Amino acid sequence: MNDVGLIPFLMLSGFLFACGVTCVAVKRNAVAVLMGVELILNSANVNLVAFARFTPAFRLEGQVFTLMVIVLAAAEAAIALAIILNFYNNHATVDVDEAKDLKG
Amino acid sequence: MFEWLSTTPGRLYVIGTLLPLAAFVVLLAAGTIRGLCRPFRQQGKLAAALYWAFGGDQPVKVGGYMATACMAAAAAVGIWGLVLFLNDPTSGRKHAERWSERIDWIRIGAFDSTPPEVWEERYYEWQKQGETNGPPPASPTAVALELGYRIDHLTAVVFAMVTVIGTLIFLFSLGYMQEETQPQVEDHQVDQHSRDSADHGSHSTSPSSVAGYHFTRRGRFGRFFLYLSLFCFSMLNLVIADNLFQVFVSWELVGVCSFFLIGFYYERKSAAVAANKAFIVNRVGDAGFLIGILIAWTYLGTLNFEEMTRRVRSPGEDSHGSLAFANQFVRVNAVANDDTTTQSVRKFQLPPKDDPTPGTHLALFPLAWETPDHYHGLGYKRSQEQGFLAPVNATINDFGAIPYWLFVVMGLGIVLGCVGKSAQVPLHTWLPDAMEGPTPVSALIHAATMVAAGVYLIGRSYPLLAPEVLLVIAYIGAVTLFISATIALVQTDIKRVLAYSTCSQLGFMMLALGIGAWVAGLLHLLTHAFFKALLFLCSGSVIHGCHHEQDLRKMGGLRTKMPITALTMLIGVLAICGAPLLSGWYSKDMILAASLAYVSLHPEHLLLLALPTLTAAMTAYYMFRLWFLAFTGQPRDPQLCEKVHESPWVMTLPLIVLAIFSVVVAWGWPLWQVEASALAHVLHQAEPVSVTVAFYPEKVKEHEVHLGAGVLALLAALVGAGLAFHFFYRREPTLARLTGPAPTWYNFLLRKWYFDEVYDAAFVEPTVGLARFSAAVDKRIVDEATPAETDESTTPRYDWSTLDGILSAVGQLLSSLGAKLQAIQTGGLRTYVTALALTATVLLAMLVILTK
Repeated sequence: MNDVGLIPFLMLSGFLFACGVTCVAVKRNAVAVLMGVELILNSANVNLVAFARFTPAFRLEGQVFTLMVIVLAAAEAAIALAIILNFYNNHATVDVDEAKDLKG
Repeated sequence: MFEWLSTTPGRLYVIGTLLPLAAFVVLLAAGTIRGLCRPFRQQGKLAAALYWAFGGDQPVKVGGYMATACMAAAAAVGIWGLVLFLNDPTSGRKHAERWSERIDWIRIGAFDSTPPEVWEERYYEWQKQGETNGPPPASPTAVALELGYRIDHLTAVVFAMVTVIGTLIFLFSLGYMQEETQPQVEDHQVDQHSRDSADHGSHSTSPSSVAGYHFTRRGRFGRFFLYLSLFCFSMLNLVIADNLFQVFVSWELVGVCSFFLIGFYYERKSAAVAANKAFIVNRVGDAGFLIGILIAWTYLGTLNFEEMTRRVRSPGEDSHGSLAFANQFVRVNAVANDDTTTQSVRKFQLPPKDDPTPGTHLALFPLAWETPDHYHGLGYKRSQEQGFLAPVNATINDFGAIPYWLFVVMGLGIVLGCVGKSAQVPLHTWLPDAMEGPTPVSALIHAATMVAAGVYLIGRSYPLLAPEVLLVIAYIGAVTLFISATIALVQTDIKRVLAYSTCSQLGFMMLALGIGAWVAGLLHLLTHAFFKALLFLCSGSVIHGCHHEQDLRKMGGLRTKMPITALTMLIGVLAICGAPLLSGWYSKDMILAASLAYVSLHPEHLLLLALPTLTAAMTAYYMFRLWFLAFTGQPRDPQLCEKVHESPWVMTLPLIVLAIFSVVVAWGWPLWQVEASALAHVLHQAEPVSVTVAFYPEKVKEHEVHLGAGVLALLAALVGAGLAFHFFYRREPTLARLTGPAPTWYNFLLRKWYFDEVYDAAFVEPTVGLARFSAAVDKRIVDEATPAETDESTTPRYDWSTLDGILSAVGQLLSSLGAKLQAIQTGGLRTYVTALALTATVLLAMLVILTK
């Protein structure tokens, strides 16, 4: 396990991040966009944990940050789903391109 | 309640100064309330009550009476103060404490609370250690603009003069400005279509030429006295001020009051132009004055007259006893300071004895030591051998040095201010135009206040003026007195003759001050104030009697119609000509004696004698010409002469009082000796010691040549008066002869040596041209017919050819750029994320590439 090193973790993190960004950028379904955001957050978590493992000075901080991000993600998911639900109630769709009511 | 009267009687003068200010404030408040209530007088009861209480539609006379009463009270205070001052038994420091006070007005910079005594002790210790143990201890750097008063003989006398003459002029104005008390005043001289009324010398146009247009306005009785009161307050404050800054403040107040008063009939274009001219020409002088003040502030560290004098002139004594070279300018050379422990200190040395060239710097002396036992002054021997040390940023308690040329510039700056205020060449052009104001104003400006301020200030700041500056003053005075007198020879407007005569007499004063005749110059200021006020008020009486006709050519034979005016004016004319035993004789004789003495010692300055002697003759000529033309012979305009009447007592009373003053004001015993003049003796008490130091040979010589000068002056005056008698009395002047064609030199003088034309061409035209050019550059040339930029169908037009166009184009460019950028902001989440990701990628890529 120790032989793996930092780089594969970072590559995994980068892959997840790219997937997340692509998901946010191309999907029109709001729920899918939310899932993309979760992917981005989790890629960051992988990054933090990996650095915590391989950098002795940040052993504790990285893990605490990860816990923080998980809590944040949960809260964010709750609020975002509530917004999506309301949006659906008003517009009968969850297409983010339809959310143009506030455009000047 | 009146304890202060015995301890600090000088406060009387503060009260006297504030009295006219009080009148001003009351009048201003009343007028403001009336003006504010006027629009609501129909609506509210309170507003209506206030409006009618403060005059209503009719200008109230009571304001004028109140201002006159205040001025009379100030005159009483002035005379009381003069009596107290002349009988004051104290002297020295006690005297100064009784008659001067000062307070900090505006404090500048950090305050070091070290008491001067403590610092003095430190400095003494430092000095005892041999002056090589590091720089001297920092002195308390208290810097403050101050308010203060300081009464000496000159102040006391001038204060009494200003208040007395002011009171008489106020009284005269009550009669002269009578028509301003009407709710409707018709001003015949306002011409709707006048284009060229500002043209110089066009004042002889009769009012009938603008018939058909009648301008009516509300009378401005209260406003006139409002301005007069402020004017007098400013002048009094200037007189009692003990520092240059306070003088400057009053100086500007005097300037702005003259602006208001000259432009009193501001509906007339000529009056508005004259007011502007007076103000602007004075600004030129004031710029110089300000430069002088700033140099003094920077180098001397104080603006208090007495302290500045002590700073620039060597002290009278130090711990080694009296100094032989007291009260002089000490010029030194900067020498290298090779002692490394005193880097922030410069070293100065007196030039060696065998070197005739004077030093490049002027030594400045510390003020801190007043006690002789601590005062190690600039002993001659010491400063020549060892030199003295001065910090780079010397404060008032250090030795210091100012480059001599800068010191001369400082003096010239102050003199430039005085030249502007006292209407000397080349800034004299505003004074004759100032005749546009009501005649009492002319009297006030010419006699007691504004023009006196310049001469007074030179007298005040006399110890600060380098010999070079004094010579400049003398020549300015000599040139002015000659030029103005030649112009006065031919003027036909009664007030203009007097105006140029004022310029000329002020030139006499300047000349006297320049050649070291301090007492003579200021004595002439005082005597001139009385007889010039008399002459102006007489001319006012004539103008009033002739229904605002000012053209001498149309007068004649007024003597029988207005005997009191004729007689009092004759006294004034005799006084200004220097007829023996009248006040003008004493001062003018003294000036001529001084210039004769000066020229006999310095023959290269012959002009300083020739011009005043010649001018003394011309003075007699033009003054008698005026009197003969106005009062003797047959009436040249019978129609005008019909209506002439003597003025009411409120106007003739001041004339009589002033006539008495014009005769007796300079008297002493024995009467026939000029040098016995009591007023001159009083002034002599205030003469700065530096005058005697600098002009000792001249003073000795003056006593020798006095009689000769007296004879010379009398002969000159007799010749002038005789010529006038011949041309304007024996040969009856006719209207045809007076208005007929004239030779070239006559026109040259009539056009005032073309000063106005030259200034127009040299300064006014280029300025106006530049303004026109700027306006043309500024204006957009794109015509209005082109579609506006907001029209989306056409591209906006950018006009890069004009300044305004360039600025507009920049604005339009930004605006259209914004319109284009608007399209990018879709609000689409996906677009944003894409852009964000791409940008982040690009930036990271750049980071990677650049940091490689």
